[in-house]
Amino acid sequence: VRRPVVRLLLALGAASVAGAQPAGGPIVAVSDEVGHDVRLIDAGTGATLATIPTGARARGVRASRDGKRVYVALSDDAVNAQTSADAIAVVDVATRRVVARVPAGSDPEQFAVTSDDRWLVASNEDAGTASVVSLGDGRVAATLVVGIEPEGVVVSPDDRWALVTAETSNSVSIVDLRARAVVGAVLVDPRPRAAAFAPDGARAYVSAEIGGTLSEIDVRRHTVVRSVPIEGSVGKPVGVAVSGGRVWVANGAADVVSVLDARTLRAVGRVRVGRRPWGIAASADGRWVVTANGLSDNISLIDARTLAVVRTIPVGKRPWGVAIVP
Amino acid sequence: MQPPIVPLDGPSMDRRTLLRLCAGALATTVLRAPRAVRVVLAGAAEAPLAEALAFGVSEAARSAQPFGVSVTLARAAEPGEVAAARDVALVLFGGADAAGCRAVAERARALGAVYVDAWCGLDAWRGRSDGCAGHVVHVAPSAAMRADALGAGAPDALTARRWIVTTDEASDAEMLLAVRGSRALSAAGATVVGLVGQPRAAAQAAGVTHDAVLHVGDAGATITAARTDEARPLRALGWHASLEPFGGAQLGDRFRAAARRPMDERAWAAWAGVKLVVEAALRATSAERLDQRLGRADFIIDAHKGVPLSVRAADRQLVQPLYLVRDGDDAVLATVPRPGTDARARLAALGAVPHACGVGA
Repeated sequence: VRRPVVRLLLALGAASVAGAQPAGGPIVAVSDEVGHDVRLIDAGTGATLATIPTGARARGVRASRDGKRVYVALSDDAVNAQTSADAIAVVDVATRRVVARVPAGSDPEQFAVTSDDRWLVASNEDAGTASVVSLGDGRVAATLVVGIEPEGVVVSPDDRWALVTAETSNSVSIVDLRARAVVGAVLVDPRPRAAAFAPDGARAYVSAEIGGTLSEIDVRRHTVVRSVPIEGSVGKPVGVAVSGGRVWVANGAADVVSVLDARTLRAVGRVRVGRRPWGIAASADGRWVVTANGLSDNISLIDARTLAVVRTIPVGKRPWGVAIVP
Repeated sequence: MQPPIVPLDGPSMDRRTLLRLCAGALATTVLRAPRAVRVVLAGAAEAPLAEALAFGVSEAARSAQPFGVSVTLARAAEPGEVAAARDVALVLFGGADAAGCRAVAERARALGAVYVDAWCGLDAWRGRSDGCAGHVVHVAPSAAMRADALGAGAPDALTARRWIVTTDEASDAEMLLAVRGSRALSAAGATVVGLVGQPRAAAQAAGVTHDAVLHVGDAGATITAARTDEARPLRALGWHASLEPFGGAQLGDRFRAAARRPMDERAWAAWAGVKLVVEAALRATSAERLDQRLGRADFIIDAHKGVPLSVRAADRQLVQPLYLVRDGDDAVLATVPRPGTDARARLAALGAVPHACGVGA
């Protein structure tokens, strides 16, 4: 479990698939909560490139910035019990195999990875903590007390800050990744789920499922700048992504993605996708947005320029998280 | 260039300086918001309820700590022993029966505190205006809510279409609830073939053909629905240990780890009551009392029921979905209101009673 991940990957001679993307869409990684696997999908053609068994409940998923690795949060099906199933699996994209499992505390659900692939921050839902893990040697460098029922995790573009939402406490803990300490918290609307940084790292956006809002946070001042209702406050915003000057919000209950101007937070569009969109990811170039639709067992590929769903792709039994592989 | 602003009795200052001063004043007033919440369990209480309250305080204290607000729990053998406290938001729980709940609520009123009714329900104040007073909030569901919920959800849950509605006695309290239940059954598409102010046996003796019974007993304290071929009745509960969606599983697991037993509706009400008042304290402005924040239409909390919960201004009732559970079952048969169109309106109407605390209350 504690094998050095990077060394192992070098030994495997993993090759990047970066640059190999078809013009019609990106490569997408999708976690399957019930099917216990992660899939690599060519969203341009709809083809499943690989179905990689994880042997455990797969939820949060992220891709490394160089596109060589996909990380997947794994846990057992029972809560409040840390078992050997609780880990972050490292998938080598080239060989399409799980090449390492990194411990990340109890019941990891969502996580984020620093841009240099050195550190991982995971929320431990049942323990009420966040774990800061060295991806180099699998060492848990810090276990931080955050709010109750932590969920969403995001790391700032400069790797300085991590935000951890807490669904029961209605808080966002601000973690200084240099000090590996919680340095503040922001009270947001009820049941915060996901967070996403603006490209400049100064602001972040947090969804509140029960509050029905999206809050903009000033990260350095630890304040809520403003909160806006989503879908007329009857939405249940969960996943959040930022790209192309827009904030993309997955509304689990309404089966739509709400599109907001990132500067004004005014709604500029809505896209109907599959049932109960949960995970959402946007490509770095702002061209694509993808949702994992948990109740319709598919993903929706959205053209970010036209706001049209250009492809709906069946995947697994309950897609949970989604990441675009650069 | 901005023109200078000249105060009445001081030197001139530019607009930026004034804004800085205003910002400083605002920060000062924010700091004056309550920094401590003291929860007091007053009067005799069963050990499991005290334990559930301690769990709620423990969770709320952890959530409030990053914001510089402390949450503590104290016990008082009698309501009269609870003392006033300065610079602390005082919140009273307790009351083993209707009279006990009213006594604790009255003590809260005298102290300028908030009383959280977690275990009695508005019916403990039947016919009294002080049950809807601003310092009270009812987390426990009222009998009217339970009658509405059973009427709305039982026909589908039990697949029963022809109903009679019965009571233990023909008292006003029971008959009013029986009428509510009857209306809710009809609104749900069921046929109410009889509403009788007498026990079920008498109705059956009268030869009314039906396949289910909604019964109101114990002056409204017991409301059940049952098919005629099923001995175990259905009840409308505020919580059930089997609930998993919306973080219910996580809440249940945390409670089980703390109390070594499943979370029932009274334990949930204790936990939710503490969460309600502590969130109100965290969000209250410096000019706002705790009870004022609790009654605001825009003040909502999440308590793992999948919808925003709020306190109804008219009767200080926490409006919340209820769960239909058959005695002895380990699963919920139905949630009322069901999700869907106009669910919010149906939730707002659950147990809503014109003049719940008397005309003019």
